[in-house]
Amino acid sequence: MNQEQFEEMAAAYCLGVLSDDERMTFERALAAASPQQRQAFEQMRLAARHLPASTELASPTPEARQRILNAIGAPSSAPQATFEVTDTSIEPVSKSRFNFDFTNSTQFFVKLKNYKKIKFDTKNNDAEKTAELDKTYKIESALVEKIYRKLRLDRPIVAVVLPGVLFFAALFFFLNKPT
Amino acid sequence: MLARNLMAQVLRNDPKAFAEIYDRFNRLVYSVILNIVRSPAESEEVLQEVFVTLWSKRKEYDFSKSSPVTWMITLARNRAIDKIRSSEYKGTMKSSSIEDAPTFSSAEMDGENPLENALLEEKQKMIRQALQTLPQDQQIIIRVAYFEGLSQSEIAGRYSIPLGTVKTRMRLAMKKLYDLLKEAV
Repeated sequence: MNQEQFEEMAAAYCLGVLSDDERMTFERALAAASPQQRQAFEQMRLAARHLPASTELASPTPEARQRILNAIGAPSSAPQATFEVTDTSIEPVSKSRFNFDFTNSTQFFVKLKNYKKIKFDTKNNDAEKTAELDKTYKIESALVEKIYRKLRLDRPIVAVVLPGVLFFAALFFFLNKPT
Repeated sequence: MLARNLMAQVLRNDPKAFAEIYDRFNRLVYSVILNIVRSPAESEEVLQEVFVTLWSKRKEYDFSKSSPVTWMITLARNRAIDKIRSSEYKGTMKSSSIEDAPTFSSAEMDGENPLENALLEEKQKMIRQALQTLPQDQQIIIRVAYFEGLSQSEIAGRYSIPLGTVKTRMRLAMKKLYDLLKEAV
């Protein structure tokens, strides 16, 4: 197989359109390929990997998620916000051994904040409304997470002292209230 | 968390990790399916098949062979192509003129997470620009091969062009696409 024939098969292989026989033929050729042929193959494989991202992004309905989770027998839950992966402006939780992991309490705040949405989801099947709420949910969840971290509530010293200060301030104002 | 770490949790039968994988990649997987199947309702059926297969065949996933995203996309593409090749879809591929073939068009994004969309949109824009730089006949050949799973001889038959021309165009398109993407992405 010369270079040109090899590249023609490599292109079809990377696009996943070879028949089983052709694929086996190509894989044999690849195993015995020259460095130049191998390089051409790697380049085409890399190019083909980008093709899925050329599609128009669309979202399935929220019901699809529920159906899939039901099908695998997973407990139903609200969709998770994707801020952890994408929002690089959020500082990571400190991994100091003197710190507690308050990540779960973040989730608690997020769930509390979105109680209305979760309640709506369980009662209704209005796809449009649910999708709208879902959008708001993700943005608001990211906001709650950001505020939580900005206030340093993931640090125990802040998490313990702040409520104490607020309590004593309230007590002080209560005791000094003019009668 | 990285997709590989999530996949490792899925292999340990963690449905929460599975739900997170779904939340992170459903749009990409669904978009690939929709691009092939064209019908939202049928695409959701395929999406469900793909994710249920991902869960039921999770033990077959091999970390050394591909990333979880590549695995999902390959699964989705194969299922979607099977769908359009099934009997009820025969006859829906109406176009036999090369001018009528679908192209890589620019698209509006529907926003869920603005930052995530911005990053994805940027990447998509670069890939689309690279694809649109290719000659129209090469774009079409890549498009119908990748998104419809047509072989080189099927493309030649559909558009009434010699098989040798299809092979050459496909080869040149893939080489040029790499040259364009290595700088852009």
